[in-house]
Amino acid sequence: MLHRLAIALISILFPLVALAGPIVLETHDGSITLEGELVSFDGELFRVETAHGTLTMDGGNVTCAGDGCPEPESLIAKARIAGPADIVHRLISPLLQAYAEKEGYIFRRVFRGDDATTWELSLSTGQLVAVIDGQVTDDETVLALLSAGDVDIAVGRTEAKTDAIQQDVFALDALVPVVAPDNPRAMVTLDQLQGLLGDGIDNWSRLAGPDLPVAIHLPEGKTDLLRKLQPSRRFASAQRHIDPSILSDAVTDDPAALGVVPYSSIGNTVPLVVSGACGLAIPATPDTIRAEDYPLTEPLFMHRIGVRQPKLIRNFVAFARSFEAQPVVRSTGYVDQAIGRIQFERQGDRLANAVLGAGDAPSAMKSVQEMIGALMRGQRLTLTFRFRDGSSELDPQSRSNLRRLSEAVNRGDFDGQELVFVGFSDGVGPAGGNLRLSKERARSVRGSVAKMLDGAPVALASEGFGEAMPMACDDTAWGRQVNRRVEVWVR
Amino acid sequence: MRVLASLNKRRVFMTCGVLCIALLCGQVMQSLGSNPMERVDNTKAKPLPVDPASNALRPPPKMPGRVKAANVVSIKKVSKPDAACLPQLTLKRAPGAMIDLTFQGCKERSVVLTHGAVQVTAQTNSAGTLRQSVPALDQKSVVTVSFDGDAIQSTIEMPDANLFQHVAILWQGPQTLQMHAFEFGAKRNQFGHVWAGAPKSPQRATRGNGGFLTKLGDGSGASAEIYSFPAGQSQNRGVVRLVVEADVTPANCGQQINAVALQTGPLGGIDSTEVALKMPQCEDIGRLVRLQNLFQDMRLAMR
Repeated sequence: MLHRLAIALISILFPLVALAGPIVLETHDGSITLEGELVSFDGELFRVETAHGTLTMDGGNVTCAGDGCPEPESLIAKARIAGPADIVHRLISPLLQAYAEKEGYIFRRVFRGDDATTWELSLSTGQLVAVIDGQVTDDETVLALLSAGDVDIAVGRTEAKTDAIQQDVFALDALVPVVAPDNPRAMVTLDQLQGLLGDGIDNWSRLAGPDLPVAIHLPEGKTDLLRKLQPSRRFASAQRHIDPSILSDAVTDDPAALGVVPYSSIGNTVPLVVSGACGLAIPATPDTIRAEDYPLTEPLFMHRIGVRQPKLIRNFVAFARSFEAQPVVRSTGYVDQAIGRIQFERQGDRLANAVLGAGDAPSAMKSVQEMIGALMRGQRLTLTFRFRDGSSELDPQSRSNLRRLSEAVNRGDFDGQELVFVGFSDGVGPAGGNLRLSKERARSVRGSVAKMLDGAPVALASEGFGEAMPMACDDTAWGRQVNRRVEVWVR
Repeated sequence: MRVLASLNKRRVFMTCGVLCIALLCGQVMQSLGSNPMERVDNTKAKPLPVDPASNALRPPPKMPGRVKAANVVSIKKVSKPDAACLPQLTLKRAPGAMIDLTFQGCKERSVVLTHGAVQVTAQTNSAGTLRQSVPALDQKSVVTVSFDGDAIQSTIEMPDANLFQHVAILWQGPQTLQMHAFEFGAKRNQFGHVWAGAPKSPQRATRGNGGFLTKLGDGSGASAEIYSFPAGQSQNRGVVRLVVEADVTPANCGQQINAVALQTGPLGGIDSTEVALKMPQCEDIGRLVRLQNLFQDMRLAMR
């Protein structure tokens, strides 16, 4: 008994003893070296008594040499990441690998099954610097795990509704209605889609197809977007799938199936193009998803809670949402957030819609002419600002766009050019009010961007053209939401 | 380098230039690891003029995948001048970016065959011959055969290698994991389901009809299954799903299975993943474990 107590005492005392002694701290990239007596180490921060006074250094990206160093184990950055199978395996893993390559770490992935993976980063000397555990859960559970402190980073498609959770959009995706390759249908109206998913259309023969009952396949969990599709009774009988690639395969195999899958998991299915009652249709493409012109766009979030994380982990999160990580995101089949430019000439469809929509009203035609005059020498960026339902608050993807655009401007991407924020409204209500509203929104977004700039030589302007260029039909809520927007043009 | 110095009584005859020797040393030293089986000797090497049969400097053929086999570069190495079996390694180009390897050595010996990150054990026959077709992982493909504490290496130019994407599983001992490729929505046992039970052929790939599976190793030590897909000349669009399966058996239930998974990365290099899979408990014998997420799908855009 006494013997055991002595061992326990030694193990308690040992780290305290070890702390007194000279140490040399060096960052992994060799840029900073610090020499002195270790005052304390709390598992994260070193306080070192040096010739220049007491200095503090983050333990997350340093190597420690000398008698006074804490146990090497305590210098390893640790994190637990959880989220849906596709995001954890297909997106987080390549992002960690790219981050490791950029920082010069050796990357090791240990696959423990479809629901668990471990990633390890080490120095070229073999010294382990980070261990990250990846765990697969569905979209709803993951936020609960984060709140309970059981994971450090939650990834998923559901927006956190509390300010206590910090969230970053690190990639884009979208929900796409799909059918099997041997299903002849290529296009449906929104009414038909809602009928197929709802109670109205329970057999493909009602759409001049084969006599087969419609079998519905949906992702697990109720994301905000699934709710937007106005689920009805038959949603309850739909087959749910946790893994989107299994959902996609189930639809591929069944000519009677109608699935709703993430854009990144379309696989061998065929996407249905959805048109509104007025005939406007926007297919899901990387550009329409980036611009959020496609109505069922879903940002992918990285959620963290206010606990301070090791520096290496914070750096990884910063990398994942950075400009440099976008080619990695693209290579995995998700949609990246790089800012592309669309030439005026490539927007013929939109302009034709604008001219047709203007009809006989001279005032409407005048506003279309003004718009063409203002934009015809410009290019539209694939980044658009949109608002939450019935509010002037930006939606999550647009808030991410705010940061992304200001970073690009500060980086010098638009030096010597003019950025024009161009507001548009839906066509509900009087045209005069819509015009005013579109101008106000454009001005407000311009103001938010201006606040984040650090003096780059870029001119900012704003304009508004009301309901002059609808992108979707105004007869549905999601159509109106697509139409209420602030586009960004470069001149 | 100490290993090399202690072997200075051996002789090496080469049919290629100094560059090849340097390459050979680098490659083999890298793969030596802690395995005392593998050594190589480059002392007293006498570089000979380039083999006139070599076409290493000729332009690549215009129709990749349909070329007739041609020997490119081979290194002949004599381990013991007085030994009855003089080792010889010949590589030939075959359709579907395959390397036809012929190794001549001592009869009924275990040898280790290394190509890139793939390493397997095989056996020479009663005539001392080992023939094996290996998917080329690089345009400049290096193959090493290690045996009885020696190694022989050869390099071959494979111009069509970059048209292919590969996934591989490597394991030691009895086979537990099986690779299955489901091409463009193929169901089980259909035309586009490629696995050990229906491995298909490299000719299928050269016709642009799909991929094929190569099994390497004789089961005595390290083995591999490699699925190769002609991404550069596919006539389809969509995805090839790569699934790894394992039967729960009395031998593996409750145990951890270790393996290595390789896959061509988005930028062309080969990414490696360690598999450390805990098999279900023994009451689940007969069940099938399916791993959907070990490999990334191969995504093909319409050409």
